[in-house]
Amino acid sequence: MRASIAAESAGIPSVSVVCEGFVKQATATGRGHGYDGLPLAVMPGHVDAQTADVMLSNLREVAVDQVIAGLTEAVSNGGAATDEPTALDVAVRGTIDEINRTFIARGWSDGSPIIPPTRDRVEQFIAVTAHDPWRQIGIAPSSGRDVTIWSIAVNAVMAGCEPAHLPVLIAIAEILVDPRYGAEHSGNTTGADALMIIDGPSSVDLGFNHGQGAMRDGHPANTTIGRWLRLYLRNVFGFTPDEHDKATFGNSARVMLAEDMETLADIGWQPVSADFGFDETDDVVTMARMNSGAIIGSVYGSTPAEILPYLADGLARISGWDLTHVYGLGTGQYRPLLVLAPLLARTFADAGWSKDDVRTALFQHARIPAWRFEKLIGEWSNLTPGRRTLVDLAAAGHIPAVFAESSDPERMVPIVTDPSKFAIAVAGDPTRTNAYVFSNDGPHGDWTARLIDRSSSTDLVCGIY
Amino acid sequence: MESTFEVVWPKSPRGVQTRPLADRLDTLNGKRVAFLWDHLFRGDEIFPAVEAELIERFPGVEIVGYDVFGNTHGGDEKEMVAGLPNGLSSRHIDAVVSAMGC
Repeated sequence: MRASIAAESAGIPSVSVVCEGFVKQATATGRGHGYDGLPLAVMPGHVDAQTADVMLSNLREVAVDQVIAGLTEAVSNGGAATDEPTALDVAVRGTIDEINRTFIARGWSDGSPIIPPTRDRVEQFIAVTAHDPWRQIGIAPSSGRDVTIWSIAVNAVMAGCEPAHLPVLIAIAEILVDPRYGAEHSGNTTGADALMIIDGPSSVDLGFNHGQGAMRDGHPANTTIGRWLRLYLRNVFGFTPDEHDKATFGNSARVMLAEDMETLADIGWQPVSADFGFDETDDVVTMARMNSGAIIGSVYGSTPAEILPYLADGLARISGWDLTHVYGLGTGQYRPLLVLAPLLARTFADAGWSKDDVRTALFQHARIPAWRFEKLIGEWSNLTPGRRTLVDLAAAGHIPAVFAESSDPERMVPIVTDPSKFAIAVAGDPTRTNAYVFSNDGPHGDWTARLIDRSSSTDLVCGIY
Repeated sequence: MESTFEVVWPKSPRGVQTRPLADRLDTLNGKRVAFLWDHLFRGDEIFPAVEAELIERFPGVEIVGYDVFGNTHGGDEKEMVAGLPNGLSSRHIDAVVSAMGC
């Protein structure tokens, strides 16, 4: 759709060919960019599940006429005035049960009870940091809606956040409007959801849990900010099933992951945020959309050599179709995350290993057969069309030579383009030897970090003068 | 008596204004139609069939294949799409067929 939008912006008529299950999302994407009524040619069913004969018959009998009509017949691009409330209007009036029922019915809630966002509550939420409620941080790239302090606070009240969380929420919102992150992909069919990581002194000051049950609900800071993200994506970015959310399955809200800053300092490792130019004294949110996660349970061993193979195996096992972000849907943007419980991180550090040493070893050990890599991205999924082999891709300069050291399909190849692509976090129960691995969704919610500014805002002070 | 609340809207106004779509063509005969592909969902099978159908119905149409512009949904999508308006104009493209959204 974004290619069609680019064409229309140049005054060139376009038509987009979509499967029938994608019509609502295609329409919403056009509207989000200001192009209501972008012409579509709709293929019945889903082409990946059809024989070539059925697919081409559908094309000739249905879609081609729509292609021609879309390019040659006058189209109405809506333009009808919408009857939406303004920010300060009373949108709903009622008891708490009535408000919750209405919010669910209108698609404004995640289904769990919300705190009613009264004007007073929202104003009090913002007052703590004195931000200008109407400051625009950006525009949601999916819905075209304004991302403002006010809308952040309304959804924060609903989620049960504390006013002290506002600077964290603003940093997250800044990531969401950063083109590098690619928030517009947050409703893609594979249904990844973001993992947010907080590093720095604020992770302690604001009451985040980084220890036992680090990714479990039960701690307000971790839990409510995770809930806020889903509410904000729903209400301001438009990720509902009627608009931009095409997740086949999806996940419920992920709690925010806080790194164990004390252990990191103790072993001399930098937090995840250091991969993005920050250091341990900076308060930083880092986030990426994660496809899948898996536990590496009961890691056994007292040396790096003993524990590394199991961790590498976990990373290799978690890497499936996502390898298309090595080359395909992404290029060098497959960056899986390994979350080490503090005991495991200490095992490496006590042996003198830095994070980079761990990454280098993972690059050598987290490998899969070349034939499996090729099937995952180009045969079983057809995400990298043309049945190109890794040798072909390396010869074309798309991937490093390490993927093509021979043409033996049984050779073991890396799962990332270079060791720096492994992200490593430290969190969880300090007395257990478990780890967790995540596969990321490449450019569709790419790793992006933002400083958390907890100083009092000068927005309103400046406004006086 | 149970308390009642007056609550505000959790959405936000649209900062993006509605823009007009491009003028449509009177015919595809004599026009250059570019194919744009996101390298997904069997576009390599679908586009040749679309091309054949368009040529059959509009013998004077000229098709510019998807390889000319590259993958619209790869790792460099943002740069690629940002360059499309100029790329399409400089190649004197009259219309675009973009696929596949599934």
